[in-house]
Amino acid sequence: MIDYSQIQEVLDKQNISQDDQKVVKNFLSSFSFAKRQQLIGIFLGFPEKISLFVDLLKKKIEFSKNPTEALAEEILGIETGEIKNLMKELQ
Amino acid sequence: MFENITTTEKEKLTPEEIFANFEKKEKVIKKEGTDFLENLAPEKFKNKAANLLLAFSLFAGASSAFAGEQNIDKELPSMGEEQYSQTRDKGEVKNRIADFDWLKVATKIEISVGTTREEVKEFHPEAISFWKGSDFYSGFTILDANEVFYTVHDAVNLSHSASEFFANLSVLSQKGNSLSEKQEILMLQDFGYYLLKTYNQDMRESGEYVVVSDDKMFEALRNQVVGDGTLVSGMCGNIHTFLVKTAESLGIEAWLQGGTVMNNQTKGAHVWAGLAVGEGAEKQIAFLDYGTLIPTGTLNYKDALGIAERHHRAVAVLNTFVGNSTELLFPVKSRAQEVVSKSIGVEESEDRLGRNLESGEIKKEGRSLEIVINPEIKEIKLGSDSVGLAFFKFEDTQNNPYQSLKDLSAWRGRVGVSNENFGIEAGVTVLNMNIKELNGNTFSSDDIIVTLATDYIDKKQLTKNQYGEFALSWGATLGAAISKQLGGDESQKITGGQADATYGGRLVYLNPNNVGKFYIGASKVSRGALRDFQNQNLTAKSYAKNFIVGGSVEVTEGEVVNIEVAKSSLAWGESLDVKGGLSNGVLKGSVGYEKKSSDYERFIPSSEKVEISATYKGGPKWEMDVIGAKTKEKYKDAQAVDSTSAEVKLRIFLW
Repeated sequence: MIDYSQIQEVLDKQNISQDDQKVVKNFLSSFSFAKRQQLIGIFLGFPEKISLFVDLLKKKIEFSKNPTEALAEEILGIETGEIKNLMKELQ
Repeated sequence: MFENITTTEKEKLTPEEIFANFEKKEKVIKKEGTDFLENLAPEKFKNKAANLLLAFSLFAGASSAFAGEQNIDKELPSMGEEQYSQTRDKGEVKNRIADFDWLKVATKIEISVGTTREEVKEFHPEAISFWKGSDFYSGFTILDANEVFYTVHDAVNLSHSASEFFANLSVLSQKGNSLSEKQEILMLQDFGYYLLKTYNQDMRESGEYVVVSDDKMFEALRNQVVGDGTLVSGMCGNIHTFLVKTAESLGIEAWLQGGTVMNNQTKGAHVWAGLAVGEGAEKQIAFLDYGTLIPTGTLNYKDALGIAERHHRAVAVLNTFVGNSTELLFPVKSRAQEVVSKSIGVEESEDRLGRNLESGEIKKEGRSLEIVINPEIKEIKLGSDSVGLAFFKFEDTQNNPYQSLKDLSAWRGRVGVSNENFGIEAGVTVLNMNIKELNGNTFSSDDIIVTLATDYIDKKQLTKNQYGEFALSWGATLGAAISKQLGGDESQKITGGQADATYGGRLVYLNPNNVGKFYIGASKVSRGALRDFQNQNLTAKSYAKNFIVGGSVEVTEGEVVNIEVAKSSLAWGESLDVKGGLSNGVLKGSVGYEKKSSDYERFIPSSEKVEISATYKGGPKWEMDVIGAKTKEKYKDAQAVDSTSAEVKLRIFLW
């Protein structure tokens, strides 16, 4: 079982602001225990990507409140770029 | 393969259509990623990029699901900091007992059961205004008393100034002279009796509290003893300051004590004198209130104050200072005052700041329900970050003669707001106290206490490189409280107050692999106090300087050792606190040793305390602490006394 204090330390180390940490908290708390543990594992396993995760989370929240085509394309562009780069690295 | 993902639709789409399109396209992206992973050669999974690809696909789906929920204004619980361990399904809270949703009330329930074992001494207190028939003056004869009355007359009559008066008394107290210590104490009572007649009522009514010179005090005393009795002197502070100087001239250890007194249903501020009297095992603290002597039968100052409270039929709700004839020294507390402090529920400013510096932010309480049960105290607290309500009940189950409270009930509420750097919290407590009088009757008193605490905290990362990270946090906390009696004479009743401030900082070093943390910190506490017992000039007095150093190191995977040493230089002495512990995620054990060295053992004891605690995490839903402590306290001229306490705490996590 992973304790919350562990992820808090990582967020602090990555200079994630207190407001953004609240977004992460709310995100994690909305899932069941098993799913939450999996997501916390992702945050702890790839601390260098936390800024990207937080940025995506915030953009998706904004999009869900005010869906615009421009924002949809921006989010999809980030996700596409990230997945594409990783696939390229693995080929 | 992603060329068709981004679109350039020209038509104006509705938000629902935009959302649906987005979900569709994101699904395609994720599928491309997972399909790729499914066809990946097994050895490629050793590559971090494969894991990241899988993680990213999972995160993309989860973040969209979360964001979608935000869109329908679903209320998400705020995250507690303790556990991520309670299984909850999306969309439905499972933690329901019957039809009641506890999560709306608390995310944590804490139940604490404890007890303290100490020897309760039997004592039958008395207030002696006439020597005959009292236990204290048993064996005293009319001849002894007459000798005192003649001496009082001569000592005053033969002196023409205060210095001459004190010098004459000093000669009387020298060995070889015929007066016994008890005769000297009766003399002091006699002086107190005459000085009460010189009480300056005009000074009280005008509120002009000023220093009255020794000569003016003596002049008024002489006028009472051998004159026409028309001169006035000062108020309680002036009269008892003069009585302390008189006692010291007789070779008796004496001091001043501040507090409150109940007169005609109205509480008022008061100052009286304390004396250390008797020899050997008979030595005890006695209070002198003008001409009335109140022996306490103890050298434990906290207990002695309880007898004074019973005599005055009042418990001072906030600060009460002890002092000498020139200055106030530091606050002291009776057993009853300790109970009152607990019932108000306000932390000392240095404790608040310590917590904030430790976490680097303003610590919030979270939604919680706390229940405390021990033989004398029952408390229930319900709170969240911004509001709280509590009920506190105390009952003197041991019928301790040194506990002036028969029982106490308190209701308190608090509200608070804070952001990243600032916090402010206000609280109101309404107290009902039933106070034991010396004759065993009880007297009811109601008070209201308003408290205010403000916090400031900030932090900065100083350096971060391959050798680790240095961060500095600093802050300040101010605490203030005022109290007012409910009922009584509106124009006379006391409004008490206290204020303290603490500022400090903490430097933290984190090593690169997050397996060690070390910190060093310092803080300073100041309190508002009157300069002396004769006037009302306020001054800020330095109360404590604290220094702390500690660290925690992961010795093997999951096993953490921590140690902390705190040293404080206090207004009354020094304290050293050493704590060490070991935790492995399921079990946590710690040992603490605290040593206090008092420079004023008459009022604050030197003490040693050993505390052992063990915490067991019984899975994701609960954990339990077992705490045991043994304390040894020693007051001046008294034997060291042991007491033991034990407490069990159960914490249940609801979310």
